[in-house]
Amino acid sequence: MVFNSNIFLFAFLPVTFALFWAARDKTQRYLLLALSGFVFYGWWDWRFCWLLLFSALFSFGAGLLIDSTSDARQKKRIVIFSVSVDLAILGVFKYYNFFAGTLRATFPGVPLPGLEVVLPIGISFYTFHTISYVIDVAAGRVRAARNVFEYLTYVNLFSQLVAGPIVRFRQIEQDLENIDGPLKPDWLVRGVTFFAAGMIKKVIIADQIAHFLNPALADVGLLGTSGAWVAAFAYSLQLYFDFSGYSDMAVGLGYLFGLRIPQNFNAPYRACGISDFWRRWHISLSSWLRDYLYIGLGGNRNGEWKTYRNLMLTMLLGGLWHGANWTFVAWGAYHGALLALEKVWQAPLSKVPQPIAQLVTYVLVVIGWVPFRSDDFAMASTWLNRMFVPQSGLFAPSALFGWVIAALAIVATVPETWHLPMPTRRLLAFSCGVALFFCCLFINEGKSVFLYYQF
Amino acid sequence: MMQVITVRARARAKRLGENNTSTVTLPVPQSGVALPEVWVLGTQFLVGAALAAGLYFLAIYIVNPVRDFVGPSIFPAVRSDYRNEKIALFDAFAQKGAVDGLILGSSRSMLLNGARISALNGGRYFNFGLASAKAEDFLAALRFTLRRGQKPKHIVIGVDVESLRDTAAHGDSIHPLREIATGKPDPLDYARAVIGRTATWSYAQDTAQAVYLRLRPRPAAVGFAADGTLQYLSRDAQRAAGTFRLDAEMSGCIANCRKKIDGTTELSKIQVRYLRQTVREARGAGADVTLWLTGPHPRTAEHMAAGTSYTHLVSQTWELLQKQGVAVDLHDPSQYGGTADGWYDCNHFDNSHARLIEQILSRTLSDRGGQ
Repeated sequence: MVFNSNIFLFAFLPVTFALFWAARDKTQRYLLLALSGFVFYGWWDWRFCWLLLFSALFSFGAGLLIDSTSDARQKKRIVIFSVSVDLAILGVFKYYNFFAGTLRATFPGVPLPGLEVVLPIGISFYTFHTISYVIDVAAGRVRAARNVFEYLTYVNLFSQLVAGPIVRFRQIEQDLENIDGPLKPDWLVRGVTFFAAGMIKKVIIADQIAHFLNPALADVGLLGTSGAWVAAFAYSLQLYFDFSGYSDMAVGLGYLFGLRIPQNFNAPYRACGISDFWRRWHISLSSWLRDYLYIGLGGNRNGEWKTYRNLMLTMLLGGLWHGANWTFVAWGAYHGALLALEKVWQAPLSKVPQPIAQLVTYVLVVIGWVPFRSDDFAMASTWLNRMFVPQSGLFAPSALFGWVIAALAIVATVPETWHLPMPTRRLLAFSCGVALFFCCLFINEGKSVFLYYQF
Repeated sequence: MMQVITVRARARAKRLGENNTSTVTLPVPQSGVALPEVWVLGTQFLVGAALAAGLYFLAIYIVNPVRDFVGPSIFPAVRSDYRNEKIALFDAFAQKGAVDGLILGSSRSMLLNGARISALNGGRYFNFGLASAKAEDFLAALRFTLRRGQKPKHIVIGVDVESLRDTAAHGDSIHPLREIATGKPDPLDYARAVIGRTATWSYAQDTAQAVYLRLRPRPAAVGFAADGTLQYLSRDAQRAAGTFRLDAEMSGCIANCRKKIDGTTELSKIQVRYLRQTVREARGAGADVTLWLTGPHPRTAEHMAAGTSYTHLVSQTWELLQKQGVAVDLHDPSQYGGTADGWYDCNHFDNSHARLIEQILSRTLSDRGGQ
């Protein structure tokens, strides 16, 4: 099920909302949210609910075991075992065929059969939820959940189950504890406003860009230089409005159910530098990678070269997290290299005027999105070749050009949803109702899923 | 968190016989006052959505942009597929004399000039080409002609891959809502059909366009000659003024052409049957049938061939046409001496190409001693 569908908007959400607020005690509400997560997830393929349940129960058990022992070595062993199981599940479903295929192509004699498995949607997200929970319990940053339904609510929460944000248990622990409280008017307004803003970003801006961009990208070899650049900028904007729209909707849904989900985007295309970009783009993933991978590898504590190595490794694995394709690895390597270079030239770069730094950062990010969007290296190299070697060919459709200009103007001038004023006013609630009706017109235009569902 | 409310201690004052009332503040849980506000906000939200929906459906009913609703409208119709216009033109054309020849096909065939073919072959030709026509539309146009008592001696049918696809590209000609409305449907079914068809952004755009055209009428982009030949009025005017940009027109539509056949690997069996039936019924009515294979701009064809079954579909279509009798392959401009510039967009050639095609088609007819 996706947020931008009639079944979600007119059946799943109203029913879940009504039942949730009709329920009076914690356990009922936990149970309702946990079950609604299964319904939401199972709508796509119910068989993978078992995998989700296993992953959740396994990490819940691991948390309890860690909590029950004071022996540090024992805790470490449990963490390693639990994380290994999580990574093994992710590895089998997401990466096995990729690595097996690569090995078979490199060493034709290697007897590695392919697996006929479908990638369970959202597996990368909920696996990171469970891993962070187990590590945080072991590190004493969070107490182990005692109520299995509370924990299932955390893992299964439908608003962030499939495409994040990657919420850590400690970030919503307090709200989960207070889940039996009343519906607050300001949270209701924030919830509806976030949801409406996200829906507008997704179905009006991102989907309209996609409508013109996808056909143009069907054969990038036909694009001229200017067309290839317009397509690259268009994709950067489609991705931003799609994913930040999804994240806003997730935050809005969280508020509607009394849970505060953390910010995932903070005007990333206004960043001054690549490290600043990563503090603003998919914040929940970049901070996860920083806290659980980069710092785990040693961070910047062991000298310059090891810092660069750690940056590169973190970004490579971050790239691979997005998908089992070498193009994602290349994208990760590109960002790792940019981060390392930024560190090397920190002093001179700090003197670059802000508007220039913002522009250069954005263009560098846009170039990085080319391999990210490409199906394979052939497409990426053709696209980049078209961008950097002047040649004639098709210009992007004028409607796409118009959307790029409009979307860039929005990015440059309109604040992130988090910074919009949301007074508890009836007019705002009324306006959100009007806005959501018009979003429905776009939803009915055609089926569209969120880009990050594939990861 | 506790919230403070003010209570006038009237009861206490009354009990003590005091005239004045004292004011005290009492802490109460938030839920005590929050619920009504939540209800008000929720109601406002629903009222906003309901009002927007009500106004929207009222607007589309009044504007009636694609004539889905029975009854007159002061707003012009948009998104026409020219069926109504062609029917009126045909009736007017037939009133002036017998229809000796009929041109069938989709939008590319619509440019073949009935008068010019008449000049080459003699007889009176009517162009009954229809936008986005499928083989079923060829049959419908032929049957309409025969029902009107006309017996064309020569029928030219332009066939392309797109006219033999399964998917319904347009439904404007059938007016589904009108059909449901005239059948005295269940109100719920009708409401569902109205919402399904009209609650989309493109329908909203059509409505806005109809209102705009009512306020600022503008010259039509296309027109028809008395014999049904399509004329690209605005593009021809742009060409005359030197402002026409083929590249811009190409990039506007080239990718959409590919989208139409994406995922299609075989010709539609139903459409193939319709085509055979058209040829059979035409011959049964005593007409000589010429089929010709049409195609888009070569760059579009190249784009469509990349990653789709387009090339295979073209071969399949050509084989099918050959099996029907007289067939001419003109899907590539090089086959009739066309160029890459003689086009209005990625899909539609211009009059210079139309002339070349008409000459070839006329030759095949005179070779067979037609007209």
